[in-house]
Amino acid sequence: MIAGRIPGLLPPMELEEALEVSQIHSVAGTLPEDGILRTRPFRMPHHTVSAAALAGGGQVPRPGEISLAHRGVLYLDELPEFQKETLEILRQPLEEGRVHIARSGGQFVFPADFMLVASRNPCRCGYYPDRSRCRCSEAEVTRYLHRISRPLLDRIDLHAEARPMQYGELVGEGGAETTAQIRARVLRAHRMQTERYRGSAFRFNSELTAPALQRYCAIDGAAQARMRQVYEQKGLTARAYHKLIKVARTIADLEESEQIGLRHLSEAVSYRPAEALM
Amino acid sequence: MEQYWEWLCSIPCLYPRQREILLRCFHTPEGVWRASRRELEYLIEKGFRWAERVLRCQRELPPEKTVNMRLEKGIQFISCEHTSYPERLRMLPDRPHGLFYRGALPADGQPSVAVVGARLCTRGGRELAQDLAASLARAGAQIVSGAACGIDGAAQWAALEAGGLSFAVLGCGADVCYPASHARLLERAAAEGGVLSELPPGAPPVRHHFPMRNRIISGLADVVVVVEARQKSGSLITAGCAAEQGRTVLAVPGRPGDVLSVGCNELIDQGAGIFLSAESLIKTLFPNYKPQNRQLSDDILLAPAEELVYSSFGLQAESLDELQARTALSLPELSESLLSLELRGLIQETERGWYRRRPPDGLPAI
Repeated sequence: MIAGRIPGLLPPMELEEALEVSQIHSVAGTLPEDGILRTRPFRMPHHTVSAAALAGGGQVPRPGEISLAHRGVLYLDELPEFQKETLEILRQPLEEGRVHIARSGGQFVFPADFMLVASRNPCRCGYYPDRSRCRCSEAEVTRYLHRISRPLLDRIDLHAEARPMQYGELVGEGGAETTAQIRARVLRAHRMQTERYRGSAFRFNSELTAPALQRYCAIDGAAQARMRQVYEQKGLTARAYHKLIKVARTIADLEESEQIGLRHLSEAVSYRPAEALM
Repeated sequence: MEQYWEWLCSIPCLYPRQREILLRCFHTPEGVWRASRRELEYLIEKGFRWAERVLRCQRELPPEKTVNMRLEKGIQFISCEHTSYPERLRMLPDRPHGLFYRGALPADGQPSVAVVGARLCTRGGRELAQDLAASLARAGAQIVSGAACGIDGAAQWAALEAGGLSFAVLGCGADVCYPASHARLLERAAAEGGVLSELPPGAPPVRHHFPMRNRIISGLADVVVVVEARQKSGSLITAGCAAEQGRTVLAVPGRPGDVLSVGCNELIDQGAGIFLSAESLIKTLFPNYKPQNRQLSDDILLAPAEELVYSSFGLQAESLDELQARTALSLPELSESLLSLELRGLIQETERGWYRRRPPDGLPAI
């Protein structure tokens, strides 16, 4: 449901990006008849996908799902059902935005700069923590959650839990935002970012390097004091801290606020990956 | 005498009722050990096939050997005739003939409470068990339970974390780690409280051992609190034993129709007491105990939004969504208040996206 809305929320592709994406799809032979791709790709491989199909492979390697999702979204439904080895392949591309494939014929590099969206159930039956329906043992729940490795979870910036829908929400009571309204907010945030990063190598907040964070994501004294507490009490790593700041920057952008405030940082903290689930 | 008791209790797969028959025939454990082959074969002929095991142990496992094997495993033994045998058990008609234990046994003069409940429990049940066990332990009660997953283990762990005593009664040998995921709990209980079993060292955790051990759990307790129980539940066996043994049984009531409250509500229907609060239980067990409740004192100043969020918490953990619905705050505002409350130690995040008030004097999360 949420994942299906994401392509409609993304900012449009610029010409440069569109050409780049079209090139990849051309190599893979998935380009439509009538020329170049205009919308950001949304790839949703099934959980039985092989490592080669995900990363790219073959004698002369062809781009895999992660490259086809370049500049777009790679959506992995039922994340724990994927093969462990297949998922671990994602680590390097998530870090570098491209994938290296070594063959006896040489080294191939495909771009793979995608947004990873994934979903999973809280346990095998999907009802945990509703104990009147879930009969999974604690060990089973833990085992299910641990199928996804810590390093991979750490590379995912936003973690959120969805609770079962009430009927009212299902039929649209309560006036939730429509995709178009959210998209308008995203576009405004995107415009802010374009202006902010004009003349620099960056396009999105996620691309910021540690030194650039100092420059673009200044936080004031009170917020800094709070972040020190968070950093120390929650035992964050430097990488986790930088991610937190970038997420807070984006939350502030969505509110069209130049300054990163305490509440933006707090919300970013609430999205951080789960530490000890049990 | 003690070594013959131990020998009798160490015969594998020989259960209390069968030992009772042997003791009736041969009067003392030593009598059983010295029973002649003919006498035992007569028993076997009469249909007591299990007497074969006694014959075999007479041959292969003499008393000195059982004692040495047990000592090597660091386990202690006490028979029901020993002067330090727990008084609470001594009075029971079906008292265990002997106890194998690591650590210590519950002290006679100190109130002891069994906290039992479902293995597959709810978050709320687990938290209630933790809070209850921790407050009781701090007040000075000994916590007895079965070290099972869910309520039992949570209560025992919380009691240990609160610096109290916790005793695990196992349905396998005192040296067997079951459930395997509770290895740390059992080690700690053995060091700071006790791990005990009526079964000889090395006995496997098989099904029919558990109802037997439940009578020891209730027997060692003055009060048995059943936190959550399904309709057919081992906790109900414990409660039944407790009632027979004349112990106070308290059940945590639940809404009718709640799968995990059916057992508890049935207990209440049958006459069990209602568990009201840890404080009221402590008051009956320790009339002179003054808990150091940490009230939200005046020197902690909360912003209006934080006040709103803090006051919207009930007893149980609440999800982010639920809190948002209750307070009508935006997610950034809500998370700012939550983070601030959490950093001040007033609330804690129990699981991802679930928050609860910290109990009065700070219970560490399990």
